[in-house]
Amino acid sequence: MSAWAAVLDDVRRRGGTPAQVATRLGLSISLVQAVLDHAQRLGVVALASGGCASGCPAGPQMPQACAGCPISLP
Amino acid sequence: MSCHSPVSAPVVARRGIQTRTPLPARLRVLLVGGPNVGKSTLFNALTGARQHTTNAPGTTVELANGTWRTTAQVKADTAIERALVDLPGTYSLLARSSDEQVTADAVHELAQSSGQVGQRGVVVVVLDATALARSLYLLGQVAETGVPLVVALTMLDLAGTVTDSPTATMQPQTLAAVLAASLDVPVVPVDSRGRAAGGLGALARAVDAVAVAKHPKRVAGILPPDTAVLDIAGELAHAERLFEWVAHVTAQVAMGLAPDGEPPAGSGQPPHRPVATFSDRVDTVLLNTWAGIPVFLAVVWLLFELTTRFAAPLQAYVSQLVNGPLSSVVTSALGLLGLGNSWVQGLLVDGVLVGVGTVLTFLPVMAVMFTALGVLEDCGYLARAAFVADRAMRSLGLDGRALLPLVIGFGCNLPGLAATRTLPHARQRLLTGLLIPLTSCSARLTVYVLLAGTFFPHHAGTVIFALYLTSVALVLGGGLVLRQTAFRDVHTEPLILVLPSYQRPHLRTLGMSVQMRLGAFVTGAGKIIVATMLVLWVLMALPATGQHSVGHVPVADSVYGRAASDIAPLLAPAGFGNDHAAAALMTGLVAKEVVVGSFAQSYAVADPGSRTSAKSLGEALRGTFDESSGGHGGAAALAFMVFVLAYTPCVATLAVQKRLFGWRPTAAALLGQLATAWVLAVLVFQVGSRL
Repeated sequence: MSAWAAVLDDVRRRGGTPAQVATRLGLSISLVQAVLDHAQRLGVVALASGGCASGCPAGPQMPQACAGCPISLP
Repeated sequence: MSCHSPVSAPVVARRGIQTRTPLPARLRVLLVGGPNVGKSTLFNALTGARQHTTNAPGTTVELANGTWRTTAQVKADTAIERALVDLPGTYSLLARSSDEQVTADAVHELAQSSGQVGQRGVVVVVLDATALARSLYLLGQVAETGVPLVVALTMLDLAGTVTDSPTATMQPQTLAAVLAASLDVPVVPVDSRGRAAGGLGALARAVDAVAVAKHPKRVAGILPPDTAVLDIAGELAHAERLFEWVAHVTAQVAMGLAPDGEPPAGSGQPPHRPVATFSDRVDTVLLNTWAGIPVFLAVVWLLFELTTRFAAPLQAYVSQLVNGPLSSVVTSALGLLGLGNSWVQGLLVDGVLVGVGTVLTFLPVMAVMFTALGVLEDCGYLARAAFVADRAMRSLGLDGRALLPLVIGFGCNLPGLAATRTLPHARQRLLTGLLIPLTSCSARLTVYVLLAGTFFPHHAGTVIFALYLTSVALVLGGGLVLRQTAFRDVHTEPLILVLPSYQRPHLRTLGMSVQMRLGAFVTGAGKIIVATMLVLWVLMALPATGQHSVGHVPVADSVYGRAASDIAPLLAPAGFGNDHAAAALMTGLVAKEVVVGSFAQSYAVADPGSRTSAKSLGEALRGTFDESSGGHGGAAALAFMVFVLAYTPCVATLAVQKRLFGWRPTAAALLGQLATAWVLAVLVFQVGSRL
């Protein structure tokens, strides 16, 4: 699986920060950041705005990055 | 990682350039790279003082242009000049802001024109050795356009601090060689921060070689996208290919550098255990939730102190020099020429010299602030400050980087406006730039001190403190209103910042940067300030009746004085509808520093520096304000101070706003501030006079 597909798949399944994704996949943070940046520019990934302190968007509005969070609302 | 200077020759790819065309008379070279990769430092090192800033066509995005000059190898003493453009930093050519769009457009435009005769240009892609994959992603996008390019490798002295990178243990030349072999284009390690400015000559030779090549080589493994416009499926497939290429190059670099066949980082194996660097240790304090904000406030306080205390004596010195000896010399010289006490003397001394003096008195403030900002930016703290302040600024639709210009505005609005350049998006710069005039600059303090001391002698400090709180409320309220109206398009995107490692500021680069910005201020805003002062002098010199001659007219009988009389009734609902207040407010448009002087002049009293005359001025003010307010002088004075707080700070601010944002937003801001000031002043007086 390519780095692009691996990062998107990991974010979709587990979410997390770029550093966490990089650690799980054994990739450099730089590469993960580049993939997420490009994916965000294409509109296929939304980054959680303002961190968890800004509250959890629920339902269809929930960013994919929050999918792996145990306290995110369905 | 060693810290020696990575000076080197260009590491050119294996296949030589066979066919050549003549070097264009003035080769166009674009610097492209991500934020904080050392691109601007490289630009300064290449151009020295031969640089200026312009707006990108049709936008308010600032571009740094410069002449990159070297001596030709083949013919000694023959200077080669290249027109170098420092494009806004971006991580991608898939633009998300107007700044990034300028960079993307410039690259595509150069790609389209580079095949035409005499239109050849070269892109220098700046690769960050500490974030190789991210830089390669941008390089891949630039290479897809087909533009001739050279790679400049920076941040080599910091590459060892990135423990999950394959570049962590390499030598600059080795990395450059491996990259050049993998990419098949010239790769030049540069150290524009070091004393020797290593690699710059090699970079020039590499750029010239690519420019004269009839068929410049393309980056290995990169092909143009299938079609100009892709659907989302096509975009995803394209992204897959692009990142496969990035991973391929990264793996090649890692394999070329890994000692003894050890599995390189980023090749699928778990990365090395992170080691806390110096930057990491400092960041545990500076980015800490509890310590970060106090440290940030302390830094901001220091900036404020530098602006108001350190630069203030310099300002006073410059002002005394211009208004004292320089003015006397010019007056004496005109007297010797037989022009003493003529309108020519008035024009030159009271018009031109006062205008030039106004510009010069701002220079110390600007120099101190630009230097301090440069140090904070260059050492890496500015990015941390933005991170710390991000949440508070988000409520205004701005990111954390907007806080610093706003705080600086409390010292002086001018450097505050100049500091908006640290914001990445043009709309955010405009929104912040419109809010900065609402911060109460130190010049307004002179008005507060005079009026609060006169009308509220026992509570002057409390009144002034309340005015500063009002200023903060105006910024917050103004920001929220603008966000809900004209700035709905400003997105509250998360702040994605790659924090740079802490570095020692480079004095030469810092000096050049300050010099360039001061030059832009003098030539840009300075011209408008001087012109405005001249217009004001003319209005004061022209008599409104036939009883006086030009240049020898009391202010009250001048066109300026009559205008004040006409405006005064408009101010009556606020309780200060008198000629003196109207004239002071008109003069205050030039600079708030002259409001007190205007009061003194219009009451025909001497400089309020002495105790006796200050008392006279206070008594005169009390009498006038009591009369125009129907016995509610205190409420009228309070309304006057609120008006001074909310309306346009000075013409210099207008000039800088015009330079940064254009005429239309500046004119709208001027009208908006006047309307806001009037409404607030009327409100304060009407409520205050009934209490």
